[in-house]
Amino acid sequence: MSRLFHAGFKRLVKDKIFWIGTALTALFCVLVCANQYRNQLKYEVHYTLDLFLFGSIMIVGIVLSVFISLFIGTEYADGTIRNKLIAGHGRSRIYLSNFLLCLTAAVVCVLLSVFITIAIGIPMFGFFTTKPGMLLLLFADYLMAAFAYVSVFLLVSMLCQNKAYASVLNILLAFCFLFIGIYLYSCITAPEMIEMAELAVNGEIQIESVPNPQYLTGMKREIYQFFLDFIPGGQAMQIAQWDVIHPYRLPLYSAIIIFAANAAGLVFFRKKDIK
Amino acid sequence: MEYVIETDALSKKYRHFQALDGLTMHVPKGAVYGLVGKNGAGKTTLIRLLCGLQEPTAGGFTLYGKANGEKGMEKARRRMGAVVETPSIYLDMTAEENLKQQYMLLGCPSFDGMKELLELVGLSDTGKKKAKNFSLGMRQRLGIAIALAGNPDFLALDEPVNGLDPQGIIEIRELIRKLNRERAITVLISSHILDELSKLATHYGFIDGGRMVKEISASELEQVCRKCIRIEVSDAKTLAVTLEALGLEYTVWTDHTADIYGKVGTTELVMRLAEKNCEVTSMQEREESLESYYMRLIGGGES
Repeated sequence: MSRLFHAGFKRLVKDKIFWIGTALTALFCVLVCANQYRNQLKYEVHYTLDLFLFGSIMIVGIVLSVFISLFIGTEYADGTIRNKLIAGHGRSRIYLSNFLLCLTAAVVCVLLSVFITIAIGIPMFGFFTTKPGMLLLLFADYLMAAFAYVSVFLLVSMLCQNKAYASVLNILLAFCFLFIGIYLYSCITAPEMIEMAELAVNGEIQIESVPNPQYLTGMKREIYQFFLDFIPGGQAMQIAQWDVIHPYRLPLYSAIIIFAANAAGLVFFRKKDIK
Repeated sequence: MEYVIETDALSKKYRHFQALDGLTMHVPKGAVYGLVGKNGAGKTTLIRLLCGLQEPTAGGFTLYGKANGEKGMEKARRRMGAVVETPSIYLDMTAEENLKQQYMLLGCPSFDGMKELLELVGLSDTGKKKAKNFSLGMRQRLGIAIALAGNPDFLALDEPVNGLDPQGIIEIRELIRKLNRERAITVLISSHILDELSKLATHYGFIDGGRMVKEISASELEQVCRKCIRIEVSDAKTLAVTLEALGLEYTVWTDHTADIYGKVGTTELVMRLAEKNCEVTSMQEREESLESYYMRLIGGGES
């Protein structure tokens, strides 16, 4: 497998899409910091760097979906996956080496975006206020969510031999994850009580707190919370908002996705007819 | 005889289509084995199975004595190179970068021999030109170079001259001949261009409907190919009636051309035709070609 990884790594280093994707993620971090710094000056509020540290997770899924679709899809489009099989490499090794390569790409992308946020964020917002242990835990959550994205996109790319179909499917998946995450997060964070204005008999406006009909309770809330914690888009939303309710559960859920996607990928790829 | 590849009742089914149906084939060591068959006969499917791109639904095959599914098969595959349908090359890489990728895949400790390989296929002066800017012939040659990386003993080429111009066809033919003679590489070629194949092949396998119809060596083929008289006349219908009357075996090719098998009494034939106002333009003795042998064996249709 080291030979496959070595050859793939050489290709990754020269891959334009990978570097464009990484640069876009970095640019996103710069724009987020610049925008928040502008708000800080304009509205005289103080933000801490922690709040934006992992903001790039919101676009990492989309960047990875594009990169993985094209990087793996090229193997099918150019037919070079045949060279690997003819050279005597087993299918499991081919699949796992591609998984490792995509993980490497994800780690580089995530690390670079976090370092850039730190580099330009410290002069703007000062140093972190969160304890290092919590920071590391959230960073682990971030990495595991990115790895879960990688596993799902790799599964699609390895099983769909058409590069265009795989790309469209993966990008749609990335957006679906994100929108579902945003929706679930908005449902979970809806306030229990809302204020309602009422016109009294004497003509005065009275503000009254009433229960929010959108507020989730009981089993429904638990189900929504579970999916918010489970799907990578939900995890991304919580991490980006620095509002993770179950920080220890997220990597566990990501690990389940990684394991399930790779197991399914390995089983189906072994049986796949390569053209 | 030592065989590089032996297949035993090899079958492959795609949903409702039986691509290979109990095919049995023997590729002798050192041969240039020409695989001949119509579109959809199963040539590409056979090569895909041999390369491990797909798994057979029934039957099996051996490569250098190792059976498919056996532990040593992956090692045996390292002794082979292949170009299946289109050349397997990264289009956004140069010829040299493509070869380096293959050397790394094969675990070669260095890139020694890469320059010689590029020279062998005539791509040593492509420099930084990306493969996407190569001509079809150049891509085909790069595909062969990649298949040759790691010094394989067996080469499987699926339609290697498809879409090439005459110069390209000659270059590929000479390259294959050179590899077979100088490096003793056993070559399996599938091709539609029978005339081209007849210039190279030492053995033939005729496939139809996923089955092996006939395996024959080039020397055996030469013996069985009958001699005939190619005759050109003003009216082939009149000729056919006359030949029927004379009890001679024949094949009419066009409205004016036919082949007559067996001993022909030239004077009698010409006189009989003259009586029916049918003019004889030319008569030539010739041997049955691979094409006509194939037509006789498998029949008409798309080839």
